[in-house]
Amino acid sequence: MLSVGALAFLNPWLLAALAALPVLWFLLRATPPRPRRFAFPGVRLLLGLLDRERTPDNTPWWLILLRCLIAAAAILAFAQPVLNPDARLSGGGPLLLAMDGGWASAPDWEARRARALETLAQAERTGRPVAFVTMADAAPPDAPLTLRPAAEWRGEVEALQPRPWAPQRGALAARLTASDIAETVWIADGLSHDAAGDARLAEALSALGPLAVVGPLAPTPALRAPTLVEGRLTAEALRAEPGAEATLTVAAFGASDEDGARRLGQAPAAFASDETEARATFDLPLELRNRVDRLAISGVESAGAVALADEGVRRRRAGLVAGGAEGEGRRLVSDLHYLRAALSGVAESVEGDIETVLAASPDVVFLADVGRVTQAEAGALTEWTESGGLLVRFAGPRLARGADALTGGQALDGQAADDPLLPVRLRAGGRAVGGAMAWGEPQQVRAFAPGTPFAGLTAPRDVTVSRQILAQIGPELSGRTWAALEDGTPLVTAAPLGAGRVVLFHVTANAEWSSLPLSGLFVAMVERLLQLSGGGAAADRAALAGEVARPVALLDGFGRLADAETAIAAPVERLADRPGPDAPPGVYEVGGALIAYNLFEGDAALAPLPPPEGAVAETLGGRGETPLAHWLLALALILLAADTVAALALSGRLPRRLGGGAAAGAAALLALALAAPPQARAADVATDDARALAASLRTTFAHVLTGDATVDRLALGGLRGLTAILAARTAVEPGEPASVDLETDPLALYPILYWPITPAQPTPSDEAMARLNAYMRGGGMIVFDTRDRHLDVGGGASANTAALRRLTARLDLPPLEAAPFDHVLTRAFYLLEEFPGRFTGGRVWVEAAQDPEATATDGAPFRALNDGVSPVVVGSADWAAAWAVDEQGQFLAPVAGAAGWRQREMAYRFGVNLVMYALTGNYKSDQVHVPALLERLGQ
Amino acid sequence: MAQRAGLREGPGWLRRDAERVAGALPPLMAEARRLAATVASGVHGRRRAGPGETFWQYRHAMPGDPLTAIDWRRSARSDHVYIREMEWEAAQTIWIWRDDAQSMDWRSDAAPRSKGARAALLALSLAVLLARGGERFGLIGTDAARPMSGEAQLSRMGLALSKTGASRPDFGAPPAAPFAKGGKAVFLSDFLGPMAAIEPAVKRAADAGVGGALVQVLDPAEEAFPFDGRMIFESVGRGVSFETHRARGLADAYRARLAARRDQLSALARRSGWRFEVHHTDVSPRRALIWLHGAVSGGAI
Repeated sequence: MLSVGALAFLNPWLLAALAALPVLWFLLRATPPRPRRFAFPGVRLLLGLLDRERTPDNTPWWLILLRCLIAAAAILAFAQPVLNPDARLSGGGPLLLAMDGGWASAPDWEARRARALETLAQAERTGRPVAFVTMADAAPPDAPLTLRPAAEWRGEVEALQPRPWAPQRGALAARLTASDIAETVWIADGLSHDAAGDARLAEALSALGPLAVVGPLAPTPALRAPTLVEGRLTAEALRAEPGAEATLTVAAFGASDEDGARRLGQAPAAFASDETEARATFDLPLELRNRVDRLAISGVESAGAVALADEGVRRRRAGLVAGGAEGEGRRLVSDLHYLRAALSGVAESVEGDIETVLAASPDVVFLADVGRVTQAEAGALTEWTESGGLLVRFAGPRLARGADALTGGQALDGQAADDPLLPVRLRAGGRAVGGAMAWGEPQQVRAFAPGTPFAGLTAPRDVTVSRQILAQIGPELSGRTWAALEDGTPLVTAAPLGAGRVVLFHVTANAEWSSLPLSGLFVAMVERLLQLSGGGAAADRAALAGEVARPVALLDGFGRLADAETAIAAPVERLADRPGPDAPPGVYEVGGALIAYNLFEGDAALAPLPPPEGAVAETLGGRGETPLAHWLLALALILLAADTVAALALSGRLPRRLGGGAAAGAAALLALALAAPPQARAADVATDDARALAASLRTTFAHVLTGDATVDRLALGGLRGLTAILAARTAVEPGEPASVDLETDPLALYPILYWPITPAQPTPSDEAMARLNAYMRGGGMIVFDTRDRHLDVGGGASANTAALRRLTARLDLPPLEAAPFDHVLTRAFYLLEEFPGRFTGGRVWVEAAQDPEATATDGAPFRALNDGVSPVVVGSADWAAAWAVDEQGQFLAPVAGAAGWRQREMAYRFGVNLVMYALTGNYKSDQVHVPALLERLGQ
Repeated sequence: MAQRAGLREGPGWLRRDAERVAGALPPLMAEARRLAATVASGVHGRRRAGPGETFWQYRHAMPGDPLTAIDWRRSARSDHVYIREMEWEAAQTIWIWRDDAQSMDWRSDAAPRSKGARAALLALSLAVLLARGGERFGLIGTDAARPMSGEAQLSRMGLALSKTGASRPDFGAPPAAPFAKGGKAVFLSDFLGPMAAIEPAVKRAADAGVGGALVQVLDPAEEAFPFDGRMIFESVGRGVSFETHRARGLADAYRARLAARRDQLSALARRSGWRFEVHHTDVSPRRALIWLHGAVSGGAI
């Protein structure tokens, strides 16, 4: 096999015949057209005439070219060219089948699995032993490769799932040193995860023997961890190969008030040409932005395309309250000036009195030198702090006076409770050091102790404190001190209050008492405090060094977040490194704070995998190998026909009168052949009108054409069977069901659109998506059926589910929920407990109830919700197959089990309910009151 | 089909040919009669006494009859004076020649019939007309060469027209015939053979005191020469061939030559006191037949 890029020839030696083309050229040039013998009685009159013109002896160059093209096309055709060739196993001996199996393999996982299975099948046919390795799975570096018959690996390959980390290619290289592998098939993800390891592996594999690298057409893109840039949530999408301009859509997900995750927003990430990074900037309201916990590239199911957000990226709202009135022209000595400066860009600030500020529901409230608060304000502040707020107070003359009052009062009765809005009890007055009248020098800040939120910050030597307010010595004082001066007196103290925290700076928020607000340290401390607010902790992991990170929720290879159950804890230091088998990406908890651990932090980038030397490159994916021989042969035949016409015309044997006609006829024939489908469509217009008329005169159900003949037949048969049942049992007498092509046919005529899902279904175009959205908004109902209940053994990663996700990615779907037991679907006509089709069990998803609070209205045992009809019903029971009958009324598909007839009957009843639900809407939900009414009547 | 019959010898073939000839005769005859029926024979109507060679009737001499008209031998046998009347015979004898050379078998795609078939049809139609008029006619070069009258001669002639000679030349020329003075001759041919063979035959007939007509039966393709490309032209019998590199370039020269040939024929006819007509196989044979009828029966000749 000869391979040129994506093109390969199965019989390359035939290409040698191309060398004969020049010979053919000369032969054709030298041969004039043979004269034609023709009987003609008038020949005697011709005798002696001289030819004034001569038919050219040499065939014109373009005719020779045409003939050479014919010959070349035929030679190329017989050399059997294939596009995107599947690598074929060549030699014998043990085969190594290596899969990357990392996050980058997830988007086309099914294709990879299929490719691996195919390789196994090839090896099985030739009876070669196979060693199968997934590089993402950890194995000891000295573990020998296990050779087994190919069939024994099959189950392992089928059960394999991609891992949410990068493949450990270097580790495999180490295991290859002493193996007797003769040939390798490497199903790679096309990305270089570790240049040194990749090179080692490529070298080791090349040394073993023939190597085929099966890579994707384009490596999967990835998403960096989100950051806040100028206060806006941004994330960079990465791609491995700079290329043309492209735009990815990054969606932000977050917990919603209701259960489940919601898509909160989306932003485009537009790659400029020759750029490998594109920034997606989300313009979200603060409340929504703070709820974002996950960003994902739409349509790419991979852990690399998901970036988890933690507290670090939330923009906080800070409330600022100053104790004294702010005078004009005293900006630089204002109580709030330095706080404003520190907060600008990292948080939104609200200023005002305490009441105003709390009304804005801030994450953190800064009280700068607020001495006395009213009882009501104190109560509000306490309540707010206890519910999770962070109250940061700064000392100052007023607080000092307030402390005087407090201590004074306390001195009187001796039993007064501590002020809950202060972390420690204060001593009256405060102290001044380093002043003109004082003995001591201004104090410097002591290095921050580990374990405090400020750990890791360095205190500049030029930060000095000349006045401070002192705390009463107590047993808890040292535990509550977050920062102290050189002499051990507290600078910042903090104490928990309910779910929240109260923090006190023992200096003023302006530069009056210390130079702290003038330094960068102040800004850093404020940011730390901001990160602390809202239940978070410092995003700076250096501060948490030595602690243990426990996973809370982990990503799987497809980028789905699932609660961590068995994952083991990892030291925080491990999280600074790339994720691996011992630390999958996800959300970790460290000392009460949640940390997002992403595949791509900081300035990580993607790099393409350099193809190993001597390897046969093969493209993976939906485009399997395409034989081109028949196209070339067809081309040769068409050229041959053209050559015949041209030769006839040249030698004058084409009747001139017919010449034009023949040419026009040939052209028309060709045009017909090329344009047959559109013309066929055009011919359908009349029938389309008839169909539309029929569909609008009678209620008609339709199914979506999937392109899979069997599925389409079953879907149409299913609707036919359901139509018959409806006509027999109910007042609904539908017309002949219809098949619709989403791209061309009008949808608005059909109340129900049954959409069976097949993996190979093409994603509808944007126009079709827009029409589907309009259809759903206009009251239509789409019934998705993934028909794979029997495969749904957990994980929900079946091919049909993935296809459903792909097909509906851009549909404007409402939030869904599993149909509750009292959904109208269960009682629209028949009373049903489950919704069987050809399969039983499985959940049916409908639009989520709008108002979870209204679960039980007065006396009604069932929810009177779902005022409208759910625009989608999603299930997997293969209903149409259970309903399907052919034109003679024979069932088309078996329904398994001894009680198959009963299950089929139940499937029909579900179908009737579905139609009733779609046609009557919430009418039947009134039935929920019937038991209550009966009860009242009985009394 | 017909020209190959000569190659097939033996009793079986003979019988087949005979049947075929017998079967072919009625259509040709019927067609000829149908064609002849469209021509009103306005000139003849001569079953009455007049100047002629054969005896018609005796009648009583009437006052005014010339004395020289009295047949004295008959009058001597009775008391009356009788006059011997002869039948009026306008054109006594017509010799028809239909060229049956191989060149006459040719037919282009544009023409419905071969030239030979058209010539045969014209000859027989003319014969039908002549038979109806009571003239004597004969087909030169065949069994029916001796001029005779009547239905028998007509069928003899039809048989002769349907038969084809065993060895036929590429191009035909009128054979010698015992022309008698005062008769007329009709030559149907394409006249594409050598002029040297045609001219003496016409001259011989003219010398014998026979008037007549030359009808050149041509295929439309022979008139238009719609050929192109590299070709070798052959005569139908393969006797003559000519190769050209680009037939289209010869068309004008060919047409000029054809016109020259026609001028020669026309001049020949004029010199001999004959008439000349060109007939194409793609037009109706009626025109040619009317022309021929006028030419042989009209007093102009």
